[in-house]
Amino acid sequence: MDIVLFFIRSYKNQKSGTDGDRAMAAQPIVVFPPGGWRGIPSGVRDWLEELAAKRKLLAFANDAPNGIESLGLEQLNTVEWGSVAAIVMHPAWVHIVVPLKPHCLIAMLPGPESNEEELWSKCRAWLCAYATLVVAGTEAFYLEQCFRRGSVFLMDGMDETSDLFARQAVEWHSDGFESDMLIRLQQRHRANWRNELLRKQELELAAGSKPSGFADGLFFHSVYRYLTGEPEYARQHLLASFEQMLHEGRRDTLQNVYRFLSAIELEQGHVHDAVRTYGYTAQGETEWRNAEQLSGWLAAGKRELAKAQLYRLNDDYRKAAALLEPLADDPEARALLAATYITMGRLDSALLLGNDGLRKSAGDRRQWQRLQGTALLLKGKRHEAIHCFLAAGEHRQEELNGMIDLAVMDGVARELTRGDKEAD
Amino acid sequence: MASGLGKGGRKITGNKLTAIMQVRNEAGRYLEAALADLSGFVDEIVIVDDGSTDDTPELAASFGKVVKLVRNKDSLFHKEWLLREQLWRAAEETSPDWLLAVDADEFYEDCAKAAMRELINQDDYDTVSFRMYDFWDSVTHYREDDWWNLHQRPMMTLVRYLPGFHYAYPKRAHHATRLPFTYNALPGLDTDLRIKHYGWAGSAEERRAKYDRYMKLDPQGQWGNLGHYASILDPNPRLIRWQERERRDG
Repeated sequence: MDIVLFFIRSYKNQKSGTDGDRAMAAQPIVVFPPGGWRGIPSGVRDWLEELAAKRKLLAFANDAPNGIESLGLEQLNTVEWGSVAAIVMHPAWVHIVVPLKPHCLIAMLPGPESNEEELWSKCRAWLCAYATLVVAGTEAFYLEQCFRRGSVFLMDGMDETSDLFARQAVEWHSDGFESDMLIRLQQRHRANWRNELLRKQELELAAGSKPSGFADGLFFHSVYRYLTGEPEYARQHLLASFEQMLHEGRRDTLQNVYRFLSAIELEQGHVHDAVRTYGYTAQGETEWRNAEQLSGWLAAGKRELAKAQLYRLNDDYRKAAALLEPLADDPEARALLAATYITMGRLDSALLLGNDGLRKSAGDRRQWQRLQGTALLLKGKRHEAIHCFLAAGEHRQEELNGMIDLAVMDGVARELTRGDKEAD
Repeated sequence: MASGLGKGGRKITGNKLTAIMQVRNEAGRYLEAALADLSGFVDEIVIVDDGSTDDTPELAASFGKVVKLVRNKDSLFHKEWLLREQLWRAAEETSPDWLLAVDADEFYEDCAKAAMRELINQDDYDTVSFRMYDFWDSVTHYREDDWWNLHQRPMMTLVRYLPGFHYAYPKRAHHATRLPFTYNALPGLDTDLRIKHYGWAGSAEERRAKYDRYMKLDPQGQWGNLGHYASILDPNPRLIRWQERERRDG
C-alpha cells in the first residue's frame, strides 16, 4: 500500500512538470448525490468529507455537513460549470448535468439493480457515455463499462489498494491530469488480486471444501486478462471456469461463459475459430441468424465486419466501434456502428452517422425521433426535445414514453437532493 | 445457408457415424458379436486396446470397419481418464462427424439402430442419450431394483464432434465418464431408445470375480458405492423379462 502511494505521488509530481498548462490546481467539486448527502455510501462519504479539507466542495443536497456548501436545484445557474468537476451518483441526474457541460463529468455509480427499470439502464448508459471518467461500484458494472469506453475505474470496497487507485484517479482527473496510467495499474493490480484469491480457493478445493464463487472468480479473472491483453491466460481461465461451472451443475454456461472464448479467439487472431465458436453457442432464431451472417461475411471477405459483429455479440462494444468507424462508408458497417453507439449511450455519435440505416420502417423512424429527442435533451434543448417526443407519439400513445420518462426523471432528480427521503 | 449446413454451421446431411471403444482381453466374451452388430449400422470403428494379453487386437482388426486400432503395450487401466482421452484423440484423427461411445458388451436394440441416421442428420441437438439396461444372469432378463436402475435415467453415448470445442474428462482413476463432460453444456436429446448391456449376463462366478476386482481396486468406495458393489452378490435380485419391440414407442 505504501509503495503504491509513493508511486502515485511521484508519478503525479512528474506529470505536473510535463502536463504544464493543461493541469489545473484543486478544482472545485460539485456532488450530485443519490439521495441527499446521507444517501452516499459511508466509505465514499468519508472520503469526500476529507477531500473538502483540501478543495472547495459543493453538493445538491439539503443535508450537506459543515465544510460542504449546500445547493438547491434553483442554484444550478450560479455555478461556473466550465471550471468544476461534477461527481454524479444517480442516473436520473443525466438530463440535468450533461447539458451543464462541467469541466469534468465523473459518473460514480453503483451497479444496476437486478430488477432495474429500463429507464434507469438507459440513463446510466447515457450518463456513462457523456462522462469524462466513470467510477463503477461493482465489478460486473466496471467490466461492462470497460467494454464500452476508456477511463473507467472500480471502487467496490473489496480491495483497499484498488479503491485507492480510483480515488486518486478522481482527484487527478478533477485537476486536469491524465489517469490512463492508473487504469492500467488498477487492472493489473485487480488481476493479481483475483489471482491470489483463486490460488487460495484452489487450496481449499484440494482440501475437499467447496469455496464459494470459485467458478465466477475464474471467469472474472479471464475477463481481466482479456482486458490486459493476455489472451492465452484469458483462454485458460475461461475454460477452467467453464469446467468448474459444469461440475457445479450450472445452466446456460454455453452462452454465458463459453461464448466469451470467441472474443478471446479474435484477440488471438483466429477469426474463423471465433466465428465457429459463436456458432456452437448460438441458441434461438436471432442467434442462429447471427451465426449465419458471420459465416456469410467471412465467406464474402468482410472479415472486419464479422470481427466487429462478434465483438458486439460478446458485449465488447468498444472494440466493435473501433473496427467499424473506418468502415462507416459501407451501409452494413454504418448500420452496425449506429446500433453499437446507441447501446454504448453515444447518441450524438449515432445521429452523426445519418439516418438512412435507421429510418427504413415506421418503427425505426419513431426510434430515430426518440433518439433525436434524447440527444437534444442532453444538449439542454428541452423544448426541441419535447417536440421530438411528441412527434414520435403522433400516431401511437405508447410512443409518448419519451415524455413520460422525462417527467419521471424530473421528479426523481428533485427527490435526489433530499437527505430525508431516498429516491425510488 | 451453405449446402448441408444448419444451425451454427452444423452438418445436417451425410454425417459419418464412428463407434469408439476401449477394450482389454475381450476375445472370449462379447467383442466379436458387438463388432459384428456395430458393423451393421456405423460407418467406422475406432478402438484402443489397453494391453490385452489375448487375441483381442487381432479379432478387432479383422473387422473391415475398424479404421483405427491403437495398441497400448502397458495398460492405462489405473488411470482411466487417460485411457478415455487416448481413445478420444484417436477418434479425432479420423475426422468424425458423430461419435458413439460403446463398450464391448453393449448392444443397441433394433429400433435404436434404425433411428440412428435420423438422430445424427439434424441440427437441433449435439448429444443423444439412451437407456442402458443391465442384463442379469442371462440375455433374456434385466435387473431392476434400488441399486440397478441405470435404465431409468438417460445416458449420453452419442455425440456430435464439434472441431475446436473444449473437450475435457474428469481426472478419475476409475469409472471415468465415457465421453467428455463438457458435452453437458451442449443441447441434447433424451430418448427412450434402449441399450442392452451384457456385462452382468454371465455366470455367478463371473460376477463374483468382478466383485472381487472392484473391491481390490476400490476397497474404500472412493470411485463407486460400496453398497452397489455388495449388491452384485445379491442371491435374489429382481429380474424382469426383456421385451423386444418393433419400433420406438414414444
